[in-house]
Amino acid sequence: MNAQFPACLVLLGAIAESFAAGPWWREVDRATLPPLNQPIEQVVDQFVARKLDAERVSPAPDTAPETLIRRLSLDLVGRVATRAEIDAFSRGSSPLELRQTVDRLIDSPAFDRYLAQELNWLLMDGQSTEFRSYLDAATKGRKSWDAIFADAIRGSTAGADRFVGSRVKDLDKLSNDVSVLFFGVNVSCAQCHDHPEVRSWNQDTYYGMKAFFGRTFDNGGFAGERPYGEISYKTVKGEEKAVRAHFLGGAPLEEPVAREPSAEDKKQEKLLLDDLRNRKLAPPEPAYSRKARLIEAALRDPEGYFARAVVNRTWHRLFGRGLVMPLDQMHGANRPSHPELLEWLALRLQADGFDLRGLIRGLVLSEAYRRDSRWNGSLPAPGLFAVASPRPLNPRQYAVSLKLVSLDPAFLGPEIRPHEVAKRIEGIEAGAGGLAFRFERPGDGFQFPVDEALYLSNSPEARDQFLNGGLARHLDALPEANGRIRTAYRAVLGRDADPEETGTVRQYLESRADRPQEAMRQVLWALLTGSEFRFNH
Amino acid sequence: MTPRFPGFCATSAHDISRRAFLSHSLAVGSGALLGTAGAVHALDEDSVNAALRATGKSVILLWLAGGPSQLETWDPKPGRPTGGPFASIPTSVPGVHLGELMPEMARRMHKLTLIRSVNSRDAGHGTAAEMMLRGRKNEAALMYPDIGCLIAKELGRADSKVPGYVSFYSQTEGRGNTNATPSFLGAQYAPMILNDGMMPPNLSRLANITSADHRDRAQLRDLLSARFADNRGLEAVRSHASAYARVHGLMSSEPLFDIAQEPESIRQRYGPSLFGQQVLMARRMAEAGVPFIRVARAWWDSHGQNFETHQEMVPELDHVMATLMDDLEQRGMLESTLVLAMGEFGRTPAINPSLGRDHFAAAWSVAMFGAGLQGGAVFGRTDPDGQTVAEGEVGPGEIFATVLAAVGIDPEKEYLVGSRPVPLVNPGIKPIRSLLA
Repeated sequence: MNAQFPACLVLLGAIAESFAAGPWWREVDRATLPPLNQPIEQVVDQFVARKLDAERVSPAPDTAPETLIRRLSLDLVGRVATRAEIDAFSRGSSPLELRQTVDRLIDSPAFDRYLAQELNWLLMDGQSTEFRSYLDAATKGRKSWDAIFADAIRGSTAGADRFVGSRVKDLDKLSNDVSVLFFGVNVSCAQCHDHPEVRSWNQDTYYGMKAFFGRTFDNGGFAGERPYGEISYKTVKGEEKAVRAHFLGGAPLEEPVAREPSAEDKKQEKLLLDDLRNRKLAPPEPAYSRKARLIEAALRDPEGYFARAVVNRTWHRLFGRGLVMPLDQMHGANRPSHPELLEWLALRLQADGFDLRGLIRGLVLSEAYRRDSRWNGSLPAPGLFAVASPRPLNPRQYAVSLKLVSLDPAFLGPEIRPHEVAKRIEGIEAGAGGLAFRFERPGDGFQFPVDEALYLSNSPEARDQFLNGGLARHLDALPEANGRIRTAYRAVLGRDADPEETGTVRQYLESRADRPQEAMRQVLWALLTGSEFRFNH
Repeated sequence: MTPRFPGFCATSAHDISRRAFLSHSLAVGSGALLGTAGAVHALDEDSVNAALRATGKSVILLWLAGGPSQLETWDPKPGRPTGGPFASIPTSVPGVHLGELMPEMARRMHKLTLIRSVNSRDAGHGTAAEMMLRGRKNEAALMYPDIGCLIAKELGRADSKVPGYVSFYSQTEGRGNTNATPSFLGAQYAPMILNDGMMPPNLSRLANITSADHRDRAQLRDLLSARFADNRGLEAVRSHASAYARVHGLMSSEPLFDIAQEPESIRQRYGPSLFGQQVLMARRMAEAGVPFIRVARAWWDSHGQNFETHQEMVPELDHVMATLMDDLEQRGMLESTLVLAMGEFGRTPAINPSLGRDHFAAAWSVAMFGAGLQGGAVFGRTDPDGQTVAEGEVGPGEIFATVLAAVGIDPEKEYLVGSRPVPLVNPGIKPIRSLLA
């Protein structure tokens, strides 16, 4: 490949310039960071407040309890809160109750399922049912993030082998995906060209990463690895250059000299591989696996890419924006909004044995997470986290929530035992996959496709499910308009309608007094398709 | 008559604009629900877009899935060992010959533009189709958008009553290889897909709601949502409003998808084949302002019985293309519509033992017309046996750039993807200037 992309040169240039002074994380004085045993939420708030003070911005107040419990439920278990959960939470939202609610959600099997689903989206674009099964078991068994990473790279666990297996036909994609997803850096711009002034990131960096997979190959849809083989690349000058595996510009890997196989060895190898392919089995890991050495290299890396990357992704998932943006440009020249905080969180995660659950718990308990999403006047800089950012629901959140709120409120009501409620919700989740498929996965800069609006406006399926379901029938049975409006708002949006909204909706209903049931279904439609329900705010 | 809620448009109020609707509702007392900074912003944005984007150009792609043979169509080599059984025929342009299976296009050669020197270097169906439709190979970390999505973005309007991209792909061959992905452009530029039947899903109002109620509930929705958007300045919130704002416009385009609205005489001209009828639909859409329409015609992958296959399929292509050309011209649309006919590659000059031709990317042809392209121009040539490009080699990038330039899009324009500027075509790739007017 030749030097096609001058944009990369600009980027590399910026890195070169700043790397002259070293990556930003080396400027963070670890001795001045708070002790690692301090609660995560306190440290988050300390650093976020420090920056707000420095910028003289006072943050938005805490959001209302019914909004907070909705936000927590969406983020932790992938659906809106039930009416009973909202009522319980709104009666008293003391710090202790908040903590108990968060712990209840995080300790529930629903949290494990939702985390597995989110990780499957992150690592497999949501496409692999085998990988999803692996993740379901992993999150249920409280597997740490470093162990999930190791399983995905080694592929020796059933299902986890799909991570490499589904990418093995394109080693460039495999190397780059691993770098982006696990280390937060996109090294592909160093694939085509070296830069004379770049000290740290160059073609060697790219091929040094790729070399970890240089012995990996496709054997009928399964990834195999040979104990021998080297890779080389053509420099911009056209010279062939051999490359040793090394982690993101770190020291080259020390490894035993690989014996080149004899013709007979190769013949045996081929026979074995053909047999495994016919039997649809994965080739065994060789005694010396270079791929497996990547795991050690990443976890021992003195620069700390691995921990920072997952902290940033988790923060991004909960706050709608990373501490570093974009998520795949976490290199030394791209400063985070809160460098000390990111370093501390990464160190803490490491000290906690890469327990994502603890990290998520700490982040959602922070004040920064609790802020209201409304702001008067022009918005403050997004990296201040002064105000919550409304996030479009992901397909699963929207699908499960639509189904859930369209049911008769009694179905998940306070008189149903918690165990039964959990079981019923699990059933709703299981049946929401097809609906979720109709919605787009939001990313940064997301724009809604019109298909969604057309589907919810005109499809008989949507009408039958959401406008003729248990909630609609429940509303039909209520004697009086204000009661119907109140119930519909509480069921769908989890809050009461304010007087103006009640007035507007009443007027709408009154002008359709000859067809009250249809009119109420139209109001229900307006609420279900409205932006307030469509966003996590 | 039932009294109607004043804010929720009775009959003639459908014509009032959203802005007028909002001020109207202010007057009747729902004023506190106003404050829709987001919605107004989106409106302003749209009017800017309208001014910038009203080029009125469209592209119709005839996607010949599987890869037709250039030797039986645009670049015949009669009498050579590779030539096959068909003769070549003279055309309306002296010195230029086409395969004998294309008499109608031969008579119209002076309005047609041929590129006979495509070397696309990839003869695998999946990867080649992706590359031809994206103008280049994906990178490990960057998937490029489909040409239709890109043109929908560049030539479409956010408030348009018609879709930006409509794709007909009724046959299954190669369909999975050509998922028209908008990639980083965003899902709003994904195509409206019509694989089964001609009517898009969810465009028709359900019987249990009246047209007036359908519109009124949408206005109620907008009003309640505008309240949420107030003080929450986020592009995604505005985009949610924009998606719903397009619903009624698109629903009003329903007659567009009804082929019965075309006079019988026109339908007969295009012929009874599914391909012919879909190309007629494509013309209807271009006429209504749809920026990009793709009609796929599959089963060109003639590894065996190549000559029978082409004998059957080329006359249909010839007739439908010629009819489209005449129809566009008679409607005064030829200058504003670009028609591009290509597959993912061509076919081998060598004839295999099954009397087939195999995949071949090294020297094949692409045909286009309209949008001010030089009629009668033939760019590049192959060697006497059609094995290699002898002159004027181009790849998918040049074809892509030429199409963009012909419809008035600067191929060197850049999008910002994350922090990285990404040009519409790879640096150094230029349109074929001699084909542009």
